[in-house]
Amino acid sequence: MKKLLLKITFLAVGITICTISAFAQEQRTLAGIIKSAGNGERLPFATVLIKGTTKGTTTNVDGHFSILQAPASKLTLQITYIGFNPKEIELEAGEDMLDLAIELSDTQISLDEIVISAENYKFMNASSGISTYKVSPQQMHSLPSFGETDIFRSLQLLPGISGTNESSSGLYVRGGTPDQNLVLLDGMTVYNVDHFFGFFSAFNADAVKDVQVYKGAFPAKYGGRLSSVVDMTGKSGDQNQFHGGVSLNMLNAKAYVQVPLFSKGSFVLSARRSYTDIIQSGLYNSIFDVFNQTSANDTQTPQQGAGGGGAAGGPGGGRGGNFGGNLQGLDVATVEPDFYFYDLNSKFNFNPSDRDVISLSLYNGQDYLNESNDNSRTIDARGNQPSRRIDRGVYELNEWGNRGASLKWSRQWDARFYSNILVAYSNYFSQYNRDVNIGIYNADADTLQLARNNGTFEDNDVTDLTFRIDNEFQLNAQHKLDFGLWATESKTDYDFIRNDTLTILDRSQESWYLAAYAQDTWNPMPDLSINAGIRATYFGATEKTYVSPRLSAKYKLNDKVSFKAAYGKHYQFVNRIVNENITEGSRDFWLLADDDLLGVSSADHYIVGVSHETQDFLFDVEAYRKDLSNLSEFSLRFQRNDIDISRLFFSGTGIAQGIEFLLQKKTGKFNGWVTYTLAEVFHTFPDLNEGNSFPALHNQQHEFKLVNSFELGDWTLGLTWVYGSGKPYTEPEGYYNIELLDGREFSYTSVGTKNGSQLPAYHRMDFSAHYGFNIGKSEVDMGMSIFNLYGRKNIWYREFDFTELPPSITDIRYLGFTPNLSLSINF
Amino acid sequence: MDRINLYILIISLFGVVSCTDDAVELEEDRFVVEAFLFANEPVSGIRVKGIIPLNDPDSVAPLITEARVLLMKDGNNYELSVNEDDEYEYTGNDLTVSTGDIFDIEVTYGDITATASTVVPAPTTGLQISESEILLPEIVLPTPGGGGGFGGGGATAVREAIMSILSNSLIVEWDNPNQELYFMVVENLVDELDPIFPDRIANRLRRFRFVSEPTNENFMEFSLANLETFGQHVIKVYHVNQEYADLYENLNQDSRDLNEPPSNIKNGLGVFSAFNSQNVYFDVKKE
Repeated sequence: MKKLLLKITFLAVGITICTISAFAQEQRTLAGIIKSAGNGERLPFATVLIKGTTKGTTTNVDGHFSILQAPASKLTLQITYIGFNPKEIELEAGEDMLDLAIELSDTQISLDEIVISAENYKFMNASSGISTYKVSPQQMHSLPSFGETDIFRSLQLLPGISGTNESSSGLYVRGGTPDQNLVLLDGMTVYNVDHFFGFFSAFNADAVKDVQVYKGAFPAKYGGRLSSVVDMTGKSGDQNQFHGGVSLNMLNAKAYVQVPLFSKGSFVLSARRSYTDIIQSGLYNSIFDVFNQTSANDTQTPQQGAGGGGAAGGPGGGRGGNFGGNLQGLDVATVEPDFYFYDLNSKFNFNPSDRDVISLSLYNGQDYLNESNDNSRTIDARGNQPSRRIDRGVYELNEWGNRGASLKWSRQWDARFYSNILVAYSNYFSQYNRDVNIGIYNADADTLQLARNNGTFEDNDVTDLTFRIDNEFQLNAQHKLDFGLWATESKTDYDFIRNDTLTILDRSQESWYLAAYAQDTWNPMPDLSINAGIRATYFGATEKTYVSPRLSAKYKLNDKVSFKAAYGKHYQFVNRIVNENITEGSRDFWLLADDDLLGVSSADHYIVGVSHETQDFLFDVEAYRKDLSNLSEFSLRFQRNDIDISRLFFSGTGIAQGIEFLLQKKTGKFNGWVTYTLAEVFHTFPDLNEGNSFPALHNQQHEFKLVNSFELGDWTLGLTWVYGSGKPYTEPEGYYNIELLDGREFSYTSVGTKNGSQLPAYHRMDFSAHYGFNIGKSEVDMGMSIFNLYGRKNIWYREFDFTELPPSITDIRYLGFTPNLSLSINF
Repeated sequence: MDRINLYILIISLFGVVSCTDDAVELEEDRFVVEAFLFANEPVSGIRVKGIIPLNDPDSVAPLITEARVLLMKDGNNYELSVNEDDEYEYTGNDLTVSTGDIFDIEVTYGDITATASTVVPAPTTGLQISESEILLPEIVLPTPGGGGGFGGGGATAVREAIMSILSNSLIVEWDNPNQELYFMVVENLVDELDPIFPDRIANRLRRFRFVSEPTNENFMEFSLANLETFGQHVIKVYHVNQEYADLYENLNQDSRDLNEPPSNIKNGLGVFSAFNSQNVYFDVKKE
């Protein structure tokens, strides 16, 4: 396998050498840069097309493009970019034009000379590739949100990406989990994308220029993850003019500045912080009052034997072991968390020449979440038992965050050849501390009968250092080659301690991997595009090489209908492990694969689809299947008294499959989309659930999403509705006794079938309204958003407390009706 | 535009189909099998039980009497029947439980079939105790007002008598060269109970009650404080299998992470295990 890796490396070098000989053969080449007219920023992944033909290309991450073998006659270039007005440029007949500089204006600016063409995507472009979306962060503000324009929350509205996970901004893409997504910000890997209780993502939309989402069978350039890629490019800033802005909503404030540096570069700084720990606005309090009141209304008085037959049911009569009936007899309580977060993005951008870009990008974000709470409940006298009061105090503190830095130098050597060298550092940290004190009192005499204490401490740290070289070489009009190297050194630490002294897991790992890739985008005929690539990765921890072939093809049957298919093999070397916790909800941590406790996980993606695209509409259908192996899970539910960590990890396989429908109104004042996904994801672990397949925690059979945006003068209105069928969970199903040899009886709690129960369906409607106007040269936007417009009581998870029998059960709910106001000023 | 309407219709139809609400139960209830086989004894006392609901912990698990219970050995099936105690037993005389026998059990109730397997372990050998006859002082509490009560000389005699019992123990030994699992039970064989301790003292001593767990040692110490009556006693030392020992391993269930009690019952709960034992007797007499 090492030889294969070397061969691919030599191939990559050989291609580089071929560049020189091939270059002189072309007669008419068009090349240049696409920029924003507003601030001069280069626009990545913009589409450049010769009008009336299918010949075209997309700009690279630095906004460069080149079209070989373009007609020497007079022609028109069409340039489109999400969130910007399309532009057509007429080029006279002649020779090569290698230094074209084309500026696009964003859709908020109306210019007379702009020719509006058919292509004018408002928010996202779903037709650019197979399972690929281009998304404009600038346009996201028109979508409803939890008070803050949020990139990942907006991505959750896309087809195939679950939109029902309020507790996490992470993306569940086609049956995958958030850890299976490669999330890159200016080349830095971001391991955890959650902010603020999971309601916000860790990325400030003010700092991000472009988002590319690959939902499956992604290009060979990317690797190390099973599910998807989210590649974000940070704003580089205006090199000629100072810009700034401030924003405020009921939960946080943010600001940014763009400072030109000697007309050769720029500096961008953006910061965001919630202030709910300092000032709790009236609205903030009322939000949680509504939240608490709603839950309190659901509290039900304990009723013995409400389980649907109880013990008397017996054979044939139903034993009432199902939780649906039991819920009626149990207490429900709520938790009000205390939290704050901040993040800081900065980027230095320097252009020593038109061909070179040097940038330094820094990111730092952190969260503090305190879910400590006290509660008390009284159990009525029963038999000889007096009335008892149970006081329960919980200290629960959770801190997590990401830090990262990347240094990039890229150069457009000539019209055909582009290189990008990157060094990136990334760190994710997470600390969790929970301490529970329980006192059981005789309620009448107020005397302590029993005191108990238990605690949990978890500390997880992930660090990686990456060096990348990515190259693009336009061999000729039919072939475009991508090739490069990717080396990463990773380190993970994880401690899991119970009750201060019992170390359940203490693991420190370090390893590296080296990957080489090559990929050819081949257009054998005008209507057919084939993308074939291979990526080989040598992973130090296992001393093995993992080969990942990638293949995709798109065929245009006519101007409107396209067929597409793709296959990709993907590996993942660092894993997020879900610590299944039946009673309090599951947590997770990161560990490196090592072929000891955790194997290197893999996925085979199969995708087929068809799309029908008109001037204003896109109808797209994609079916997919993913075969997953070496999935990992961690659980203490099967532990014995002796802690043997090898018995806490479980390995298995999975199948995720589904079909996605998308109908998008791409253009116009009224635009948006409706999407439906029918899907399932099942896992099979030989040592779990009797070896039977079980639905994954994120399994969701149906998901329906409606996204609308409407522009009315200075007003922009947004309305979204999300429906998802209930997600599975594991519930305790009851008790049973075993009589032992000495006549004693031991009682056991039976944990039900893994993920064998299902929460109620999730649905939610959000609304937003924005009003934009100018004060002098400043642009002002006033907004209002309502999250969960009709106050649906969606359940996040159920918490069980077995301190006393019957146990108390807490339905941890998502947010109810939550309005917010925002104000932003840009100058 | 017609096509667009068609697309809207397609997606809407799927959307309508998707709009199911509320919890859906995905599985039927499991049941509990409690089946122990004893070498050289008839097959009896096998129970099939339901699960006690979460919200009714004081209820009694219903015994299931409509199940079909099959024992299998050497390719032969033996169907068990229900007796008057609602327990399953084998009434024929063609089934023996002998050392090394491998038994399978299959319990079918409703649409669920639970299965398990066990092997009859070798008998306990080399069992011996340090004393076969134990002489204990008779404890007579002084009557209040007659002899100074507990604080007088009578009390001292009582205290000394109790301490002499508490400080002594029996040592029970057996062969266990391979560190296999054994479990010890002590039973009183007399019909008419003659208590060693008066009630007032017995209640205080109850916390010292002998509680054994499976051990891989070759001995066990039995404190005389665990004795409750005079008379003949038997010590049974069972050679047990891992599935039985697992029942003790998982008693420390933690509400944060419920442990699934390891069960050798596939598609069900409980335990199916076999035992072989050796007995030794001792007599407790008054001094």
